[in-house]
Amino acid sequence: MNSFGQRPPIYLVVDVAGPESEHRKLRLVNDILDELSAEAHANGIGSDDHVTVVLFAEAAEVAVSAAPLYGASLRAPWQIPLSIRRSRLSRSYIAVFDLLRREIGRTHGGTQDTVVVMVTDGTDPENWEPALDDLVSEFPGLTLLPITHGAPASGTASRLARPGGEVGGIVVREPSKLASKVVEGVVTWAQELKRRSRSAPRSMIRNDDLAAVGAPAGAHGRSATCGLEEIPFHSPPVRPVESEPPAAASAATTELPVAAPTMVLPPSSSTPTPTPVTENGQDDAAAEWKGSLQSFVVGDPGNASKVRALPDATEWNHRDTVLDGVTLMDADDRPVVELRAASVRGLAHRYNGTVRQDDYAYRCTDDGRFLVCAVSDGVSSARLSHKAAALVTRQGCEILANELREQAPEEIDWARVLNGVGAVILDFGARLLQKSRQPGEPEEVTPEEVARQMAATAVFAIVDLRPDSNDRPVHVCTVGDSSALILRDGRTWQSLKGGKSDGGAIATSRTAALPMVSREPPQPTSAVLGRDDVLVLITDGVGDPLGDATGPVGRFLAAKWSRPPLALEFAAQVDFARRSHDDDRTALAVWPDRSR
Amino acid sequence: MEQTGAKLLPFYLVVDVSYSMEGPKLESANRIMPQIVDALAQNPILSDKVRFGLIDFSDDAQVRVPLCDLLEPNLVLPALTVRGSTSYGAAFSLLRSEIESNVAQLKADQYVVHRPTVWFVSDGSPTDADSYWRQAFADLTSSRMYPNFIPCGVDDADVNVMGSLIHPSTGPKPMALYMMDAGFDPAKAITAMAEILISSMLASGYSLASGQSGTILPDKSNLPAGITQYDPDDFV
Repeated sequence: MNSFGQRPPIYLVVDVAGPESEHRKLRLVNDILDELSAEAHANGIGSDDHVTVVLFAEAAEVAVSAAPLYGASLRAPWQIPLSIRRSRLSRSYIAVFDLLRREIGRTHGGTQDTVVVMVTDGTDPENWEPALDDLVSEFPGLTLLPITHGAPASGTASRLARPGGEVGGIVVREPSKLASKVVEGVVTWAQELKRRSRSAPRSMIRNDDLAAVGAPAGAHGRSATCGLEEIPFHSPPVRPVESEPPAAASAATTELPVAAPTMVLPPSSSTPTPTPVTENGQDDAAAEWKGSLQSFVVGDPGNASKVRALPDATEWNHRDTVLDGVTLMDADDRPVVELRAASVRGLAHRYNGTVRQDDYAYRCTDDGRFLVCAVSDGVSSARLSHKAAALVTRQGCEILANELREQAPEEIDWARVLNGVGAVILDFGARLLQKSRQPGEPEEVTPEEVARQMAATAVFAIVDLRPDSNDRPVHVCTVGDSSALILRDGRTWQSLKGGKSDGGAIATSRTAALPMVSREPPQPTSAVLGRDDVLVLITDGVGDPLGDATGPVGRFLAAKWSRPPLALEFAAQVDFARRSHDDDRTALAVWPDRSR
Repeated sequence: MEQTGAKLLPFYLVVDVSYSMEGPKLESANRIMPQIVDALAQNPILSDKVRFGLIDFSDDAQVRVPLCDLLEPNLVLPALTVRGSTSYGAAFSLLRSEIESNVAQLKADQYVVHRPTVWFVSDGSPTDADSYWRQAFADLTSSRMYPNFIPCGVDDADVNVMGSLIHPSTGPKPMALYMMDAGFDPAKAITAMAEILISSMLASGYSLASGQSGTILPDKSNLPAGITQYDPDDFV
């Protein structure tokens, strides 16, 4: 096996001809890629899960070249390539076959097993079959699986299918089923390859071989037909159900679903499930390495989960994501608590190329008695809020650690702490803004002006590292909508402080934030962190999807955080994808050591 | 389905389909929704949050596309056709009940719903009784879930009538009226209104992502040709 260069075994060829909006066509491609990617993540597809995407109308072009199915950035281009846009009103299958011949020949000389999934919704009236036959005879490992939808001429699917007589096409009547049919086709092909590599000759099993292969002597005593029925691919093509196409389109669609040949499959009784593969998709025997980190999704990931992450060109030295995973030890070198923290730039900031505005910090007091931690969310309507969040967390922890030299945690004067943090922001902000003053502008910078330019919420917590018992006192204070929670016994979320008030018929984005300190005195709260509990500080990027923590996000985080995960995993969990939740996310979690 | 805390921006496009809209104007109006779909398809951050509804009105008002995600693969956009006279009152009443039930439903699903924006396109004066439609408008705008209301007038729409529909017309974020310039091609004016709608939708979505809320209108200096923006102050 040549390990150099990528040899995509899967070619996805999609017809983008026609007057429809190009975005609809590209969305279809993305839907297929999403499902393929999900399948690759969930079960693995083959030993080399790469896909090349070819788009065509009158011309054909490679739109995505040999991309890993695991890649988060697996997307169709934003636009249909120019060479195709010029001629979108007709389609040429010959252009596709010519391109495939060049591509397959260039990348792996045609010796490899390859599946070409060709999705088309129209008809090429030319005589293209000789060109297709040439392609197939040049690359004997090639399987062409046609999937038609929309209004192609009758029989298009079966005319395209190769090897002829062995593979059938699929006629899809319901657009929403298209992507899953493509995936079924690819998976069936991959299973067939795997089965074949263990038994004997290449090429799909022939119709007339079925009975013989389907009932190997004594094997489970099943007939071929029984085995066949187990494979979803064999179920009759989907008939139109709820979403009838407009009358004109359905009149033009004369190809009857029942008339479509189905792909001929090996009897499944011998291989009812795919070969087990390791998490990373490699066969166990071949693994020189192992391990994987996957992205987390709760429910619908949304369109935004695939956006490109653009840098903020005004802040090259501000990190996109930061994370920590540490164990705090006592004087006798025994672990006391585990801490994980991650601050992750939100999807909207990635898309717009703006900086992450959340931050966190933590430190122990000099005597090692207390852990002080802080999480902050820079108010996004203020331009310099990421700086405010950095100041709130770092200076806040320092001020608190200093206070704890003199005071017990329950005696801390939180108003003085918050005013101290506010003063640092006002001082820093005034100097920063003064520098950018234009001639003629007043030299003085007012506190209100600083607060408009840089503001941040805060949640502070103090954890006793040397408690008298297994019940650790925890003290918490918040400004704005960042919040503190305790996960009790790894199961139940208890809100300590902060979060959003649920008032008003219509939502707004307002929150309290430092450096402005409310006239009301701060309301610190204290709680007890048991041996099996977890203290979690979060910004609203996590708090909003978490809500009252009784929903799917609450269950997800409870399941993942009942014990301390790896630091990188923790960051990936904070970065879970969920539709419409694209804010910066920060979480800091503290687990008491359970060996005590 | 629990959608805890997911932010939503609802938009309603309300289109006059009285007989006078027949021809190129209606063709332009029918192209608005596909243009919006294209704009959303290009903006994944926004498309996760935007919900759009289409209402047309004549003697009566009808929900043609209920408030939904326009990128739903199975969505089929209806073709608007003309059918009668011009009852503003019917449009405002239906809009009010739609908004109330839509917002209540979305909130029950635990969405965080931002204030809806209504784009109201008409080419003529109301044919129902003045007192009737004015009362319906007052009911709509005094509701707790009142929308930001942006009237768009083409052809024979009355600038003073349309001006009285700007809502809110006072406060920190007043809306505006978009009027076709006299003598301009009304079909082109409708297309220009769609451009304004889309750029406002993009700006409002961006503003939401940067921590603000509310409907953002495009800068007055960036309006397409043939359209004039009137602010509430322009009417006394």
